[in-house]
Amino acid sequence: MKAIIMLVTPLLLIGCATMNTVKSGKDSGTAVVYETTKDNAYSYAKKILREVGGKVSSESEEKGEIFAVTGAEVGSYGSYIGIWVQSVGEKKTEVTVYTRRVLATQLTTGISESDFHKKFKLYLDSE
Amino acid sequence: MKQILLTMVLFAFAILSGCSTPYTQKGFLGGFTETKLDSTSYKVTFNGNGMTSRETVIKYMLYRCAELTAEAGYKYFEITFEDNSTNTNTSWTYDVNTNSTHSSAVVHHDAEATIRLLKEKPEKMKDNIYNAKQYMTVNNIN
Repeated sequence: MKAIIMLVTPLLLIGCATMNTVKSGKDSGTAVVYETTKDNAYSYAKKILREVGGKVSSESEEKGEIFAVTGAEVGSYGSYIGIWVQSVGEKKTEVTVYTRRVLATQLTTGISESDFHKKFKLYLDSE
Repeated sequence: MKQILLTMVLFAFAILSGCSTPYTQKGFLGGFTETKLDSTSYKVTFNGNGMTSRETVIKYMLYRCAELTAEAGYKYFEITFEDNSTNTNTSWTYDVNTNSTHSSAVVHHDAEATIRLLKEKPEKMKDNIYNAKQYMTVNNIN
């Protein structure tokens, strides 16, 4: 029994991510440059998080960073999400989104990087 | 006759309990309600059933906020208070084959917001201020 626990526990933990994994993972995220201001982009990012029931754990509008948990339901720990909003020119803003499942083995997750950008684009297109 | 009626009730319950909450006024499956607080403020809630995800409940609650804003002749709404909750109820089912009852936990989500209607676009479109028409376009529920 002890041997099984010792074998299974590391296997379960290997797939675990932490918020720090996401905070240091900007370079692995999906980045898209949009024709909008940083303020506008930050506001849309927060709106999208609200709409998917995301819980913001920390944010800095000045730095353009938002870290949250999305998709946490009964039976799922959800995903960590990091969003970086950086001005890259006049009315040009780069939005980077990086998500990691809390537990790699869980089936349901929060909003994906591509769905986030899809919704972000919809907001901009409907202005 | 009684048996037929009982069967019909059980059949209807079985069908309805498998349906998620539609976007409609609160009924047997849940839905939205609103209370007018003053000339430009409303409290809007959306109650989901066990088949409706938290994301859908929030989306429908915000959609009702946007719809209400447009119906009242306003363009924007500001969320001044919001609360999303998850509740667990116990559901009982009767098994005719074994003549026994079983209980199971049913999780359902509720979303609530207090909004203020705005006619003019604010100087800064903060994340708690929505353009009603834009929200309905982006989150089309039809």
